[in-house]
Amino acid sequence: MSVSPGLNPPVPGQHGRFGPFGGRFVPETLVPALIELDEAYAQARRDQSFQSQLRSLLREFVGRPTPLTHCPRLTDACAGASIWVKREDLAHTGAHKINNTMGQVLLALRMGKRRIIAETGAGQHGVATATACAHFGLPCEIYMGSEDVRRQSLNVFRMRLLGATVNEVTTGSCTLKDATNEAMRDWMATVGETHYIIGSVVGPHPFPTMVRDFQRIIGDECREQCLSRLGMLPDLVVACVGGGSNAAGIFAGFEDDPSVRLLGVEAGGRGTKPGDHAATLCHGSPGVLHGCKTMVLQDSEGQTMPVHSCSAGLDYPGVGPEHAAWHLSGRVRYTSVTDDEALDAFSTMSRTEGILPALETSHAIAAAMHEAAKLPKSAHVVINGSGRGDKDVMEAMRLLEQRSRTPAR
Amino acid sequence: MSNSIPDAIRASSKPCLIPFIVGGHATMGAFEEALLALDTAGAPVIEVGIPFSDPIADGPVIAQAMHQVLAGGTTARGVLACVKALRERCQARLVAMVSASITTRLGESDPALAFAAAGFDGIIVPDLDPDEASHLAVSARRHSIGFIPLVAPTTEPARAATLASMATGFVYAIARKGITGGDGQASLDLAEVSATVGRIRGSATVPVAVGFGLSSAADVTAVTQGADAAIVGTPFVRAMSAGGASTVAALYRQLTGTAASPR
Repeated sequence: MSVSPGLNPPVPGQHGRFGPFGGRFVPETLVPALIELDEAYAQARRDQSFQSQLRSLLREFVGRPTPLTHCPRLTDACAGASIWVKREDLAHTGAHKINNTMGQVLLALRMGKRRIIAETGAGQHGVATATACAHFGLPCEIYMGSEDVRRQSLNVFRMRLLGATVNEVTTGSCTLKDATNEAMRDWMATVGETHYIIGSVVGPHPFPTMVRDFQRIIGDECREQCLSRLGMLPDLVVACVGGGSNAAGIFAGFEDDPSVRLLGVEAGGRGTKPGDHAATLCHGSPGVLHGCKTMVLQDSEGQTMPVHSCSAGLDYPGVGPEHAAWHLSGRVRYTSVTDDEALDAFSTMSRTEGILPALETSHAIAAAMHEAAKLPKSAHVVINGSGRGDKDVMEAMRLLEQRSRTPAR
Repeated sequence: MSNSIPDAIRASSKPCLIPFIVGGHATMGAFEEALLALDTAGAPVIEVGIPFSDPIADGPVIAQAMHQVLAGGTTARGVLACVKALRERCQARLVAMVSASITTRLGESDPALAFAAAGFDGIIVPDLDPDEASHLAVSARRHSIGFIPLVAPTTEPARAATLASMATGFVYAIARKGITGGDGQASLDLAEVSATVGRIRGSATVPVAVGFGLSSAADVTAVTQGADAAIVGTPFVRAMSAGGASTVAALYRQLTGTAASPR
């Protein structure tokens, strides 16, 4: 029934199609670079020396494996299933993003690309990219929307400390989607010497597959930890979904275990009206954005609609094409959690377990608490603790103060 | 059946210049006037950018024009309706430059249909999935409009040949790596342009037009030494913002070195 973790990870169909989703919808200038990247990655994936170098970096520099932590007080608070957290917040730089950036920087070096660019929303991917570049002495430029620069000023400073140049993007909605546009524009002009490290399982093939593979160490470790600590597989695995890299990483480890239910949690924002949320799978429809066909929040003629979330990392109008395919097949169920619910979970997790989660992660926690309460005490729920909340304390303070001034709804 | 774009380019006075403007920019009325003014000024083919929220191949001038148009409530369907209404009054061939995000929504199974129905003579999808090129080419042929693929300086010769052989309107040779607009970027690398045009020539039965980063009469003259036409966008979009139809027509005459006499 089960497969050995790490062996024969699933590959998408021809040219990166996940069922009807995926593909390479990019300007012709980038097509040869994507073909080159696809070939280089296919070789690296089979190359034992590349894989062992990456494993060594993840152990010695990133601090893997990350623990699987039991949450007894959160479990009691929900009065249901036993709750566990996969501690990606304890990975170097405080989030799962570093798993992907170390892999992609190694790949860039192998390809002879000496300059790195990236987009970032919450800033965690930007910090993880700047960190990997500092480690290897590569020049690094990060594109970040001006709205996110405001919300995540601490991460902007961290990136600069690490030697990266942060380019503030003031076009469109000034968030992650616009930062991605600018990064792609940079890449078109510099494609020969530059590698673009996309931070999530989005974008043109091979990025969704490659980023998923670099993140599946979360799921592979977690599955082994469940078997050794619980003596069984968990009943439910819960992860937040913006672009969806932490979710794809942990889900990949359990995808072939039919007894394990998988739940992706999107940003429900302020409500279900267009512009009030970023719940792409819950409310979106098939379309093309940033190089791939996937579920998107667009109007009826393909214009991207505004999105909102209290969490900068989930504030994105698209989602990885593999998630769109999992949604279609039903292998993963997707739900959404509002800003308020996520803020409550942020506070609850901090007080009950002494773990200050990222606002992104808080969405997964809120949904997991809800689900755990409906399950028997013998059941086990695993939350992917995708990042730590230190970056969010200023924004959380602002939101909690704002909420205390307005009457409860 | 073939479309008439190749004939229009071949019959054009020299140098052959294809101007690009954004549909509905700066207003729908100004856009309509500009199309007709460019037609009168002698443009054999006019490229119309269908406004899109996330035009990643475009520089700041074109991207900002598109954002402005969309913020004003103009839609892609609105631009198509405007073109349809004026089509009979315009001799120039009209080519739509439209993102895959929009073609996917307006008619994924037959992407050229909506554009042919509006009176366009050709279609360019700058972010077309390479695996979907033949799907668009078949759809364009079904509606007798030109399929116009892009070939970049980075495109491998074999792939350039395949794309060129599929073209029925013209082949769009991208002048340089990077986005549209010539501001603050390196000047044209004519050797690179010539190499790209050369890779296309052997396989194309239709004309070759060069665009991306062209901004002066000298650029137009230089690239049309080897190519059949030059495509200029950003300066026309800027002229639309500055002065509308008359400024755009004057720019056309300046870039082609023609006197201010109607054809």
